[in-house]
Amino acid sequence: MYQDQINIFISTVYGKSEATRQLATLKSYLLNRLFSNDQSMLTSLEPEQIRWMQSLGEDFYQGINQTNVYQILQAIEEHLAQLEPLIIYLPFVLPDAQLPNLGKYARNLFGPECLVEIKFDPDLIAGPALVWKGVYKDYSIKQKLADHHQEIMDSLKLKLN
Amino acid sequence: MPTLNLENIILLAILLLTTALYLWEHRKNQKLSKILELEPEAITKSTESQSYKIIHDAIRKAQAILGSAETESIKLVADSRTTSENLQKKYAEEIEKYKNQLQASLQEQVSVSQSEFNKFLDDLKSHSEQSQTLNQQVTEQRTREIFELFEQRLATFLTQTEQESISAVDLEIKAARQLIDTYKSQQLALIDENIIAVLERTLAIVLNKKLPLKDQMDLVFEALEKAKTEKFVI
Repeated sequence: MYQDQINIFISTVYGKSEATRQLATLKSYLLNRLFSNDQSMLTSLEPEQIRWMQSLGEDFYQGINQTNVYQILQAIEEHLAQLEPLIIYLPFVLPDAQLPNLGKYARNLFGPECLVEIKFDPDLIAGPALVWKGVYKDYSIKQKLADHHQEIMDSLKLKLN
Repeated sequence: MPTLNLENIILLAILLLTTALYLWEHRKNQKLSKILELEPEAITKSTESQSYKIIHDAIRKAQAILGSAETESIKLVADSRTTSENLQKKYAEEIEKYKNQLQASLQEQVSVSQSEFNKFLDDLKSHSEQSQTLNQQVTEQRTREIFELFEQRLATFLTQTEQESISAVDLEIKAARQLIDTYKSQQLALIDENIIAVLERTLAIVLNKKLPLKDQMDLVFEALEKAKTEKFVI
């Protein structure tokens, strides 16, 4: 039910936090549009938020009215709650503009409903660590160093001898 | 105290004899008086007369004996003197003779003893020379042996000392090598413990700050590809 709206919504967000935040924005917008039509609310939105709501397209808004708006929003919210995010720890602060690139790449690999959760970990070195369904795996150079610890030590010993 | 010479003895003998005769006569007269019981005065006179006669005879005999004894004694003295002189002369001769013999014997013995003593001295000298020669030989032999033994022991000692020195040096080298190995092991252990941390720290400083965003993103995409390949994320 309301799968079209869910799919459209999911296709425009890539991060779990972003999706929750955009859903709250959408909810405010739709409720205002359908029940109060307060123009001041529109002016308070960020340009990015407005651009995102426009990116949902007319097909998304056509089926939404006063009677089903809450159901649709609830359906999206429940669907979001069911999605397990892929947590990505990064050793650098990811610019907001790069999140769609990363999200698209992940969706190409893991499916159209893949959501990512970006976190910052300064202890990582040149590469991310991933958490999927509670399992942590380091894909940074730090883990590569640990994996090749013996080879590195053997090489050092050869040099020392 | 009177001396008991020959004359006194003779006089004493005469006196005893006279006394004995008197007593014998007196006893005889008593026995006769009892038997005859004659007239006491006549008997007494007769007895006295006889007694005096007897005494007189006794004195005469005693004087005769004494004279004879004196003569005999003089003679005896003269004989004894002669004999004594003869004996003295004989003794002197014998003594002289014995003295001469003794002297001759003594001289002979002295001569023999001197000869033996000289011989003994010669033997002693000879023995002494032999002993000296022998002692010298033994001393030389012993000295040679001592020197040989000393040389042998010195050589052994030097060899032993050399071996001990070599062993000590070997031990020192071994200990030094062991120390170096231990040090190396400790250093390697320290490196082992810290090298990765150092590398991590260095790479973190260099890469996280200096690596361009595009390269960082490429590394993330590469990690996602790997997670897909490993089926870590389904």
